[in-house]
Amino acid sequence: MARVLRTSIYTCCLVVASTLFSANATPPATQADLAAVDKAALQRDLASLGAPITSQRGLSRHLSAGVTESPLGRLSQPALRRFLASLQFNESGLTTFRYTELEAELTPTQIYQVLALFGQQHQTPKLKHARRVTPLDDELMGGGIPGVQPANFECYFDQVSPIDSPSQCGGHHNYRCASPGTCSPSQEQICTNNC
Amino acid sequence: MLRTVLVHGVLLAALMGGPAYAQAVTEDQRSQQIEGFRDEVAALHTSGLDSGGVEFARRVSRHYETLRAHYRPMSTLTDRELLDLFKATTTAIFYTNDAAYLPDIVAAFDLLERRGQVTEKVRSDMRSSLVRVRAFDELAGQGLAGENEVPALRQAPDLNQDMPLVIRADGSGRPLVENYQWQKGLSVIVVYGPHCAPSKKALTAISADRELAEFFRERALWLMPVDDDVHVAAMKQLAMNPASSRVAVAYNRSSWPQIDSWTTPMFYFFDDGTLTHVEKGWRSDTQLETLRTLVRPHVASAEQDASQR
Repeated sequence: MARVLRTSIYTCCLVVASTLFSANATPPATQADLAAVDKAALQRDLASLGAPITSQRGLSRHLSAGVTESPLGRLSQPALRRFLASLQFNESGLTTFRYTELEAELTPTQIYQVLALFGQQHQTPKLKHARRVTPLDDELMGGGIPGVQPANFECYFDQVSPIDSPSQCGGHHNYRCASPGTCSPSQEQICTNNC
Repeated sequence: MLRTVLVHGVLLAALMGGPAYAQAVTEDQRSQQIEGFRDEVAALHTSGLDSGGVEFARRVSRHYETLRAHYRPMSTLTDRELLDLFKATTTAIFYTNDAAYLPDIVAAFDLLERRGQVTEKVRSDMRSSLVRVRAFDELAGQGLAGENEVPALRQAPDLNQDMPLVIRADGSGRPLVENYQWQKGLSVIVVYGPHCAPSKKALTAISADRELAEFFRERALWLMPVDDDVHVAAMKQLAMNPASSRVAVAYNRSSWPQIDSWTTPMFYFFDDGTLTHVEKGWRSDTQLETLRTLVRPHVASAEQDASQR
């Protein structure tokens, strides 16, 4: 089971990556174009390209298809209500979400699946108290999955550019996106890179 | 250290024992109180009040103090109630960073520990709270220091508790607690979140602007808010950036009355220590022009001074 899930996660990454690069292939990008691409933004795009939900409208559409078919269906009703009530979006996608219920009720693999709905799967290791059940859970939390850095990964900057660090370094733990471009303290929420 | 232990001992005895009349409070009433507290904090968030601000913290304090009066003495609480109280205290500390709540959280944690109710999450919350109120002795005493290494801090000689206090990584391996020295003329305090995307975008944009990068390198303090880390690695990394040579973490909120919001990023402009302008958030790089407008008179005057010399 773990192997199947891991394979599907890898496959998902590859499919999204190939989609991204094929989309960029016409017209072909020049070296200068490529150099201008912000690496962090590219990684964010990669995650959000595969994200089914990037707006309140998208969320409504997803929920109307039935929550039992969704990774969200693994949450209890009260937890689901609180989680959904916490979600905030802007034109780039999800800006804030509450993590407590995910951490309390789901395994890291299940959390990954929920957050992947919003292109925020790289935040999974931040929910460090989630109950680990499978080897895949351990890999997700330990940085064994491409694009998902371990929670203690030092990723403030590299020496070239302060935000040239991978996008998974974004996500201000215990903050929310209070207004555009502003992270405010908020217990049990995460302010994403879209803020 | 001995004084801290004695003071806490007396306070803990009072908190855990306490007057018998408090037993008249029923479990139902307490349950309503805790629900009420959660609702009030949630309502504050939707009220539009800045959750990094002073007024928000004051209101959380008020709600918490009403709540805790119903949770005494702690020894009479059920495990569930004790966990609820512990959680509420972590919330009060989260929004206020107020060391006045240290005896509360220590008493609740000790009792939870004696009852075998301390989970990994409770330990983690306890650790975060102790770092937020800078109770590093307690952190070591509770055996929580090792979870996410907090290096031993040094204190600068002649530390003035009434002046702004910062933690600074000076390369010695032991960060230094010292007073911030206000600069003469125009200076900036940038309240900066090391994991905050808008903060990073602001830093990137400022670093790429030669004029601003030079000004910010010389006249800005990049100040990280009090939270559950002392950010030694982040301070070192940030100081390598061309626009941010002066980097520190706020030691506490109370010594920084000039900063009325710990939302990130915030740009507080001071002239000879007097607040002249506040720029909140980083919505887009068009804000560079606002910063340039604020900085140019200083740059022009500095250039004039240099040419006259």
